[in-house]
Parts: sequence; structure tokens; C-alpha cells
Amino acid sequence: MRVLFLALGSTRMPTVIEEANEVAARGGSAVVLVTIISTAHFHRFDPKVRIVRVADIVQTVPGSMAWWLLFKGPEVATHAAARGPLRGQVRRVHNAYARRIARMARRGTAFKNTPVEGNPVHQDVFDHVLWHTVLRAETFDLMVVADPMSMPMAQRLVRARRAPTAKKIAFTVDAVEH
Amino acid sequence: MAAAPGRDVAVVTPWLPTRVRPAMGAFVQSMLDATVPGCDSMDVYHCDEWPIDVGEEDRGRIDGALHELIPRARHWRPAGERVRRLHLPVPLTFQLGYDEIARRHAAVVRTALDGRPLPQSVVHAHVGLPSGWAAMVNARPDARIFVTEHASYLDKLLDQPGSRAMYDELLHRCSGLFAVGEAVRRPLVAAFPHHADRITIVPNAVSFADRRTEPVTQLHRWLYAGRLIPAKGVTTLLEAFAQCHAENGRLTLTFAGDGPLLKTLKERTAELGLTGAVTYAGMLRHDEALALMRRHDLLVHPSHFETFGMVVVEAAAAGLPVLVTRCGGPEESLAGIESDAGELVAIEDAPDALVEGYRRLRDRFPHGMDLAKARATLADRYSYDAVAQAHARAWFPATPALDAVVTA
Repeated sequence: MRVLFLALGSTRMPTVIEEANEVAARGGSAVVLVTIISTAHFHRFDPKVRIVRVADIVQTVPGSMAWWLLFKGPEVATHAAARGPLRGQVRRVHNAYARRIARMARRGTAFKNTPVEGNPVHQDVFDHVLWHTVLRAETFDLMVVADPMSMPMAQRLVRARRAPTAKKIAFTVDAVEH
Repeated sequence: MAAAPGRDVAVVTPWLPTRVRPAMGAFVQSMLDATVPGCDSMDVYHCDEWPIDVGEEDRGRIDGALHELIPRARHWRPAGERVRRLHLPVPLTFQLGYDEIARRHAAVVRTALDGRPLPQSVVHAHVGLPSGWAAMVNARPDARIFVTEHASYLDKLLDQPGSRAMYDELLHRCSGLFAVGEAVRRPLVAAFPHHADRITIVPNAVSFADRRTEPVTQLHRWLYAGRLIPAKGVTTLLEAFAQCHAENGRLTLTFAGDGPLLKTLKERTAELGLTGAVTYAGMLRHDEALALMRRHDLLVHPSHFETFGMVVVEAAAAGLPVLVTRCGGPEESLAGIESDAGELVAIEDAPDALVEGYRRLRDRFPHGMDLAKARATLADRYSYDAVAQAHARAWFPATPALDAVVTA
């Protein structure tokens, strides 16, 4: 069985570790998507379990997609908006934004505190890079929505018809035969 | 066992054993195991609380997503003959009142049912709030609702006006509320005297199927089974053990459980020089804990409060003497057989009461007690058959020859 675990909140990591390791032990494949993971948790995963960190995805997105979404797009929008008396203020806001995102991306913590909706960077980039780097390339028998923080993203995938990549959705791997 | 027709039951519970918390809700699992033979079918709704720490807006988004996902992520899983289980997450932020928590449980169950009522004519919930409320809100108008109350947080719940009012409404609607002991029934009757006739005592079910092959011959191997939290008196236990170990170096102590005091206990164990005598077995599955009882000589349970104290009865069922504090449930469960089963001591922060209790027990063991009598008495009160019959009489009162069905 091929299982994708959405564990963006990391609030139920002991359960995710147990379940993913069991999938691997039974000869299946497990991919765990996280925003941040402690070293202790990381080392408790079976080596056969693939851990995908959001920050890593963003940094490895080929070409200009991440660049466009994170920097160029906002820059173009800033140019369009920065006219008249508000020009200086808009540019200052944009520069502050760009510095902050660049710093977070460089540190690999770009999404450390943004596992829920409400952050446009999170929504725009996150789903897109997940789709292009994980979901589109693989098919899953099951997508496990493993914590509350992952629910909005799972909802978006379902709405965008990207969830059919996983034949089933569940809140625990134990809910289905595996 | 044969079941009579038309005995379909829905069970709503916030607790069941899980992978990482295998001991959580063991008493619910025991009740299911005990009662399902008398049913045609049993649907179990496990409303699993998932903590989150987000603001109001994000919580709203998460709730919206959850209710949209449930219809796609709803998978009934067989959990034994005639039983199937549905796992439903209930995301909860901190600082919610018990009333709001109950409403969230109810909403999740309603979504899982696509807004339709629970189809069963008998609905049983574990704890009044949140699950009793969730059962009541989602039950058919003609359904008979029962609740087993064993919440250790009952006093806090009754202190909140909103949840107290909901509890009153639940008692008004339900056909019976089973308190697992007087420690639970007493505050409920005091809070709701107008519902006193509905609040009866039906204890937790304990398996007496297995017994140890070798009887206890000396009280050397101590066992504690439970959470490692201050309310369980585990630090006092460690100090008491240190004193007794100083008198007899052959004594050992096993902590079976997990909790926030684990690190503190381990550090103190090292300070006391007891690393070789004290074992930390971690969180165990229920069957593993029962097996561990059969490899020890004495259960020590120094808790400050227990609604029932299931582990004490389980230890006695396993043929183990018990050294237990007078913390509510155990006085009641061991009533009349205290000295046969072991020793009851006062709750104290200092280890003296436990130490003295152990010395008294050691000095009169084995001739001053009757473990077989204690076991037989407890089986009459708490065995699967005894508890299953009590449930079946309440659930299916119109069915003749009820006891024959359950115990056949």
C-alpha cells in the first residue's frame, strides 16, 4: 500500500511515526509531509519512510516557479501598485516582505509557523509545489490527514480534484485495510 | 453466546485504546467486550480529541475542512464479531469549556451521519459530556439513551454553568445513567437531586478469564500501573519504596505507564541509588499490563482520587495482593474484602502511610488474607457476565429470558 501522510502540524507525530513505520514494515511505501520535524522524531522513522519537508520542497522546486511565486510575482504586483504618493510606502512593505521570505527560505524555516491557512504564501506555494513534486509524480492508495493543521490543505486538494491521486482519504491508517 | 433479535446498539465514546496510548479507555474496551455478546450488532463512534493551538479564525477553517472531509474519510472498520468502529477526529483548542467541547463532539457525529439520526434504538455513551451529549443530539426521538459516567473531571464540569445545564438536560432525556461507583454517583445526585432515580451504579467490567499459574509467595516485586502524574501519587510511591528497599534489598518496583513525571522519577531513582531495583516499562497495551500483573507480587496504587480504580480490581483478578490508598473507588470495590485483598491506607504526601501499610501486609502475608475469596467476590461484582447482564437488563428490558441470552 502506498500511503501519503499529511502531518503539517506535527501535533500527532508519535502516531504518524507508528503508522508510517508499520506501512513500511508491511512492504508498503509511506511518504510523510511535514512543515517541521524534530531530530528526535526524524530518527524514529523507519529509513524506508520518505520524509518530505515543505521547506525542502520549496528550495528544490526546479526553475522559476518558487522564485516567481515567492518573489517575482509580488514584485510585479508591487510595481503595478506602487504609483503616486503611496509608492514609497508600498515599496518599503514589499522589501520587508522579500527580506523576510528570503531569510526564512534560506534557513529552511519558511513554513515553520504557517501550517494553517490565512497565510497567502502558504496557500499559493504550498499546494502547488506539493502537487508538482509529490502528488503528480506518484499515486497513493491512501492519504492520511494526520492532524488538524493538515485538514485545510486536504480540503483544498479534494476541491482541486488533486486528491484522486489518493484513492482513499482517512484520519488514520487503521481505518482501512492495509 | 446467542443474541436475541433486534439488539442493535450504538456506542459513543471519547476514549478507546490507540497505538500511542494503548491504555487509554481500556475500561471502555472492557465494557464493549463484555456487552457485545448480548447484542446483534454494535456500532462504535470513537470521537478522538486532537489538540490544536490556533486562533479563532484558523480554528474555523480547520472545522470547515474537517466537516467537508468526514464524508470522504469515513470508513467503518470491523473490530471483532458484530462490532465495527468509526474513528472521528475532534480538533479542540485549549481552554474550551466542557459545553463547547460537547457541542463539537456532537457536530462531528452529526456530520458522520450525514445529518441523519443514529439508526439504533439503543444508544450508549461513555461519560455524560462530551459523548452523552453527542449521543442525545444525534439519537432518534424514540431511542433509549444510556450513559456510563466515569469522568475524573466531573467536579470541574459541574462547576461550569453551561456544561451543568447540558448535563441536566441529558439526565432529563436519558433512560439511565450508570455511575461506576458512589464516588461518581454521590456528586451527581447532589447536583441533580430531581434525577436521582435515573442515576444508578453499574461498575466497569473486569475480565476474570486469566489467572496466574504460580501463586504469590512473597511480596517482593512491586508493580504500579497507570499514568505518571502527580494525582496518582507516584513520587510518594517511589519514596516509600526506597524506605522499604532499605529494609529488604530484594524488593523491586516496576512503573508501567507514561506521563510528565517520568523524567523526575528517573532522576530521583538515580539519586536514591535504586536504578537496579526500579524499572520503567513505559506505556503498555492493556493485555500487556495484565500479563505484567501475573509476573509481580504486589500492586501498589497510591492515587489521590479514582472514580472506580479498575487497575485495583484487575490486580485482584490476577491474584495479586493490593496496597492501595482510600481514594474513592477502591474502598467501594474492595468493601467487605479489604483485608482479604490487601491493605488500604490513607492518602498522604509523605510516604509513611504506604510504608506502614506495606509492613502490615508483609507481616500478615499469606495467612492473614484470602486472595481466592477476594477474587471470587470481585468476580461476582465486576466480571464480564455480571456487568453485561446489568447492561442488557437496561438496554433490552422487554426481552424475556434476558439473562439466559447474555450468559448462554
